[in-house]
Amino acid sequence: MVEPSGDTTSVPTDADDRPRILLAESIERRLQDIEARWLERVEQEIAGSARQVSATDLRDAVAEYLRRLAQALRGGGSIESGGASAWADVAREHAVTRVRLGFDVDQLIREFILLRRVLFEVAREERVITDGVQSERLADLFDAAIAAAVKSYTESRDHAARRVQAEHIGFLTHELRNPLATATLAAGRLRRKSELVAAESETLNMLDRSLTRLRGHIDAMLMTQRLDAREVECRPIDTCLGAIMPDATKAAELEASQKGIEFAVRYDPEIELHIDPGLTTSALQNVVDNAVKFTDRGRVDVVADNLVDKAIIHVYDNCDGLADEEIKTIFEPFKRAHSGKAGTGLGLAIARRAVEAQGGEIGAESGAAGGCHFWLTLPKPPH
Amino acid sequence: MARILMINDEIDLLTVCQSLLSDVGHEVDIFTSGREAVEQARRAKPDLIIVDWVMPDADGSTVLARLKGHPATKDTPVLAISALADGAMRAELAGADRFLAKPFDVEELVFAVNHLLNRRSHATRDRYREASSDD
Repeated sequence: MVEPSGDTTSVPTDADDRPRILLAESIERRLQDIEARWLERVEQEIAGSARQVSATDLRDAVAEYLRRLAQALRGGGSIESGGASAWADVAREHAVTRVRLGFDVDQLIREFILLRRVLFEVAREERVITDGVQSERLADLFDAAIAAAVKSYTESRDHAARRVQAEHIGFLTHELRNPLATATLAAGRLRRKSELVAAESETLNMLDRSLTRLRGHIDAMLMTQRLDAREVECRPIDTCLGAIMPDATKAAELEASQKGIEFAVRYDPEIELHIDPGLTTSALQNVVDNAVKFTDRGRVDVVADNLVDKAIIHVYDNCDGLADEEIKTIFEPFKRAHSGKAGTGLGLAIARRAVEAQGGEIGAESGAAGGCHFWLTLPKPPH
Repeated sequence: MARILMINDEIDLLTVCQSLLSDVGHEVDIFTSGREAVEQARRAKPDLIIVDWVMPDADGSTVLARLKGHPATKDTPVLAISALADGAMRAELAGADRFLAKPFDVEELVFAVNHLLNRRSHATRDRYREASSDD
């Protein structure tokens, strides 16, 4: 037989097709044998070292997968062709079952390697792999399947981990809110019942402030989790910047005046927006509060830019500045760049999620001499 | 003064609510068991029932179903309280008359209780008037 000179993606000639089709036929004919050999090896090499897994779970739908592989082989063409992509699909499905069985990613890859090994054995027994190109074709299909499976495995595992984390956070917030409810009411009763002297009144104020902060932290934790799990519905309406800016900057303005720093908001209240008011207020408030929190001297400026398709809100502060590494993670939960300031490390994470849920963007940059510039974009009504 | 029955598995919360509502002139019976509370409610016919959504022996929707499904308590207003993130939705679906998310403060509690009691007294008066005009 003449050695083909082209690469594996070239259009095959009739002579090229034959061995590949013979291999596909062999797979279909010896399906049960291949399945049994593969199962035996997986049991020996993988499942033996892991937890108890039933043969049914281990087998998964491997016979169906082999049929798809045979179709992919018959189809020829590129790795992205219909048959090959259907084979990659089953690899993805298979990976999800392995997450559920508690396999690690090495074990998943090993399963594919064992299957490939069994197939080569069968092909040799059937004398159907006669040249390098056909083995390459099979190897390419397996490489594509392993890549698809690993990606699917990682996504599925991350999704499962997020679900578990969401359940934990839900449980934790419930457990925290119960004693907080009792403490809030107990503090409230003290205030109502007692003829308080100044010192007692100040102690109660402190208790109230702490309870309020605790409540804020719990709410922020739950909000982050719900935004992550996409449980928060985004309901955009046509409104204007003037409808949200005062609420979003009120607390920061008060805090700034208590700290003795300048605080200025400059914007056109008529700027039209197409946003979810609750999410946007929450996002903006978190960014502005953050700027005031980390500015001990100087000023904080909030400025709005009115572009054709969006509005950009800029927040400039006089904080100590952020390192490039800190900028990269500043919108991740629990990544507080500056130490020594009270907070959950969730404010900016909530802001990012709230902005992105509406199709907007958020970013930050730090000046060389300190001071940060945060910005977020808000969509405008389509005209 | 109104007679209120309150069910919650946390004795501290029950005690503080009992004290607070007594301060404003109400009489509060407290229960840590949903089952016992439902039986007592059927006997004593309180003016208002406050139910926590998560309890060891019965969840809020079960308690509410038993209360709303019995002639003695079907018209008694129910204030549901919960620390669950989706507590308000669950309470509304189960037919609670009002919901308070934990943590709430004294004013919110007193306002919610008085609102439900006032609504009930209006409803009773309306029923009395309707009955009188039928005569």
